[in-house]
Amino acid sequence: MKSHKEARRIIKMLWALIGLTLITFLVVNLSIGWGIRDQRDQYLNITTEQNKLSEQTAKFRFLMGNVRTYVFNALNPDEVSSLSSVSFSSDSFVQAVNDLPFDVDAGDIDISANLKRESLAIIDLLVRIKEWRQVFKRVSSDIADHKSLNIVRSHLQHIHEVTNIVVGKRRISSALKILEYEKAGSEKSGAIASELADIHTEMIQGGLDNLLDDLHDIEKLVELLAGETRFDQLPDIKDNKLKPILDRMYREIQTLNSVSEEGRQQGIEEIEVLNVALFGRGYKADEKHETIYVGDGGFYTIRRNFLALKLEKRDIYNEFEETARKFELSWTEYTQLVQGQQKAVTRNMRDELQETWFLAFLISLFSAVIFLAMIRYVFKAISRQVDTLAILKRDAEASNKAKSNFLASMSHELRTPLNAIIGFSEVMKIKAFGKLGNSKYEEYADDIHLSGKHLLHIIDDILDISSIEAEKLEIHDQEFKLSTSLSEALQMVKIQAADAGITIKNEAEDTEICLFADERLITQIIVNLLSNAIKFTDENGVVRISKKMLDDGMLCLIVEDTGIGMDEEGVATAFTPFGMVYDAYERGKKGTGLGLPLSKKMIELHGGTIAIKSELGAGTRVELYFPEKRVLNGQFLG
Amino acid sequence: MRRKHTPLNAKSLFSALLVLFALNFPALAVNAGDELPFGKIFLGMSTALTGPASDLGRNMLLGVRARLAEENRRGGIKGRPLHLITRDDGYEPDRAARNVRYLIEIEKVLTIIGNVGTPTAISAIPIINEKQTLFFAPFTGAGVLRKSPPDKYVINYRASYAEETSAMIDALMSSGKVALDEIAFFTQRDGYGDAGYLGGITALLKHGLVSEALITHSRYDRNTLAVENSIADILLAKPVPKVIIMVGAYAPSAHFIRLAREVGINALFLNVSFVGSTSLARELGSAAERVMVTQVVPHPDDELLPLVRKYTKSLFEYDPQSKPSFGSFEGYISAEILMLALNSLQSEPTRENIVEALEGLGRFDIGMGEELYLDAQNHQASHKVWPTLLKKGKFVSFNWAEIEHLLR
Repeated sequence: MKSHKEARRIIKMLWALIGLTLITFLVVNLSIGWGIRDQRDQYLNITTEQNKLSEQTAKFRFLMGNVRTYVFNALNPDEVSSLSSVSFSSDSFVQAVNDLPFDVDAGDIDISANLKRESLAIIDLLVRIKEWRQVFKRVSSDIADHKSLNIVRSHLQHIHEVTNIVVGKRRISSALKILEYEKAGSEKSGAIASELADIHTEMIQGGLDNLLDDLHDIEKLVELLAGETRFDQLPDIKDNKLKPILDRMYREIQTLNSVSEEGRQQGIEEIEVLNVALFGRGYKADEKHETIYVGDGGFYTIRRNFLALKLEKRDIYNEFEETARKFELSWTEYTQLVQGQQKAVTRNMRDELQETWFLAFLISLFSAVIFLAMIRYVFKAISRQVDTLAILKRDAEASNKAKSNFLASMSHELRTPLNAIIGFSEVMKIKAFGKLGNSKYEEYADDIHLSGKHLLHIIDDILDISSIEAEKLEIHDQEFKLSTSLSEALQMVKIQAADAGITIKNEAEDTEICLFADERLITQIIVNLLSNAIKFTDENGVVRISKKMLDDGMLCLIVEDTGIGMDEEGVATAFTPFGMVYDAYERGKKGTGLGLPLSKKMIELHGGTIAIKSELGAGTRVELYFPEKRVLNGQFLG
Repeated sequence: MRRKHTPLNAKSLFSALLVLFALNFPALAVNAGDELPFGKIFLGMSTALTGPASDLGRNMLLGVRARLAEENRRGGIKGRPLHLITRDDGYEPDRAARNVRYLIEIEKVLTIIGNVGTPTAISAIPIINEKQTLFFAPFTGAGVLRKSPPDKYVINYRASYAEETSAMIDALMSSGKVALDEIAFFTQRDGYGDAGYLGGITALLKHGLVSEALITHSRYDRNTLAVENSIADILLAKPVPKVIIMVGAYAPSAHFIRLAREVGINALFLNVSFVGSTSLARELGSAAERVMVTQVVPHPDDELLPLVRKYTKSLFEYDPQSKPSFGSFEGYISAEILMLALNSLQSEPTRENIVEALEGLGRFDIGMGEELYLDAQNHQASHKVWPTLLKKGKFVSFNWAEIEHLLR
């Protein structure tokens, strides 16, 4: 009972092991699976964000590239004839800037504000650049086409022309006078000569040469101004050089001889027009401070604006560069910030993954420990069981051996006195030393002799069975005729059969079959079987001995009776030593219950088998099978 | 599926765009080299459409346009229409230079045609030689365009100023009524005036003039009317000039003639073609007499000439309001010669082969009563000078032989 309990426990343990393994597997897999799923989701999020950021960065770079191109082109109208060739407008910049992500998470309000502020500054600059370009284009086209310059030039030329005409007219009248003088007679020539002298004096005296000199100076200065590239040099040309000459010319025209009032007025007007062409409409000469305040338009003004715009361009460009640099810096800060956030998330992810791994590891470890503990327990239990079994087996073997030894020695010890009993009762029976006093003694001596023989028989059997079990019985193989053995056995049971009123039919008597076996043991087996058959067959019953040869060369010897028979349980009991199916004594039969088991052991020693077929009340049929190698089939060998 | 299609579509779209660009934006498509655009044949003209020489420029433009319209009506050159791109230079050299560069570099014109004036031509020549583009039939007779051997890319139609003044002097000398020192010059103070003057002096020296100093030479400034000093110079000249050869613009010339008549100068005025006959006649009115202009084209009223009939018809078809003039006739003749060369080309016209085509014309006749000649050594088609005389406010054909009747 103890071992059964133990086995159940072991089985329970094994089931628990399987359950533990399954649960561990499930838990670990699930936790890792959840972890991986979670990771994948987060990774997707991060990737999307990274893509978005790089897309934004690309957009930003493209935008800034466009802005730079625009600014460069706008500030260098010489290189690009029209802005339409640049597919960019400040509006599109505003749009693009609005598209930029200024809705950064909390904690970076500064960067957002910076980006916004700087983009606004760039927009302001772009507007300024546009305005600058419009003004500059107007001015520079004027400069390039010499528009204002040509106006000044044409005025100067006109003054020249007028002066030439004035001079030419005088020369014509002078020439005509000379021709008149040449043609005239001597009485008129004196008067004409004095007229000629007057005209000549006038020409020599007049400030005309000075005026022409000044005109040349102004022409030179205008060309100088047209080529001047230094902004700071302009006041010098205007106030130090042009103004005094213009003032001088004004005075010279007023003091010019031989010019009509109308001509003088015309000259003054020409000077005024020249001034306007130079310094613009609404210019103002400040005599006190020796300077001219320029007005609207005019070549000088245009030239000054042109140079000023060029200076302004440098300033604007620098300012733009500075702002753009700041803007790009802010953008870099922004991208770094976002990337930092993404990195943090990634780090977090890694930590979480590690935690998951660690958890799975812990669960696995814990399970492994429990698993090992249980395995250890199971192994211990099993080995304990095995030990117990070994001990039990050893004990059983030892006790069996002790029993056999005991029986063997016991039988031996019993036989010696028994022989005396049998021998002396024999002597008494045959009345070797004379008659017994009373007939009762004769009867008793018979009984003593019979019982002694029976006891000896039992002891022999026990001895045989013991020696077989103790593996001490040796078989002495020899050739002998089966018929010999059979007749010997019949002889031995003849009296018993006759006593019981049973007929023995030996149908195997004529056989010529020889066996190679221990003759004594085989004869004993047959005796045992016959004796049993006689014992359990009622009066007038028949015991039949028959034989048959089997196809495979085996010999089957059959002993049948018409006795009481046995059920299946009885057959099993019959082969057990001392196992008697019927109480022999109760039925008045003699027996030790050793016959069949002994026969079984003996035939098995020869390699054969024994089989019983029996039914209650229908008799018993015992079959002895001899193996082929022991059957010699009527021939003696050797 | 979408992925598979996208690049294909993008590729075909791209090539379609490329084709569109090539067709519609020739200036963009050929930016890489000096290749000329497909389709139309572009010609460029930088001329005086404003300023003192604007009448000349406008007439030149009219003549060229009339001839191009005529060619386009006929289907153009091998099916390609001609298109003239015009820029005004106002007779200013710096603007002319800018215009020529623009026309060659940006508009990719095949040739420049119909420039007006000597100073403008002088500023254009370096660009012409740099860009190796033909400068055809400029409206000037200056020697700078008539080098020997000639500039490869300068080809003239008209006779030179030297040939005009030389023709005048030859005629005067052959009349026998004028002494060498009775000829005076009135010239514009620039390259134009100098060219005419030098041509005249050369002819005079050939006829035996001893010294240039014997010749009275008065000048006026370009773009002014200040001719009084010149009048005075002529008045004092000894001997009194019988003939004044004038190399100037119409306004100062007219002013000079009127003023000279006023002060009693009785000379014959001989103008070179550049003065612009129509404008001069208009300025002088019908009263002026003994004013001559030498022409480099036949008289546009001479209906006997087939070219004149063709010209008149063409002009009427182009603009019924317009009237024939020497200026527009010269423009028409220039374009006529160019068309002749273009039509003689077997291959695509290029800036190189158009020069070769013109040089290959050799001796040819376009129906103006005079044969013309061009080859690699001779880059001036005509050397003929036609004299005209102002009569009742109009210049009419004149015969040199009758010049003695005009001399007093």
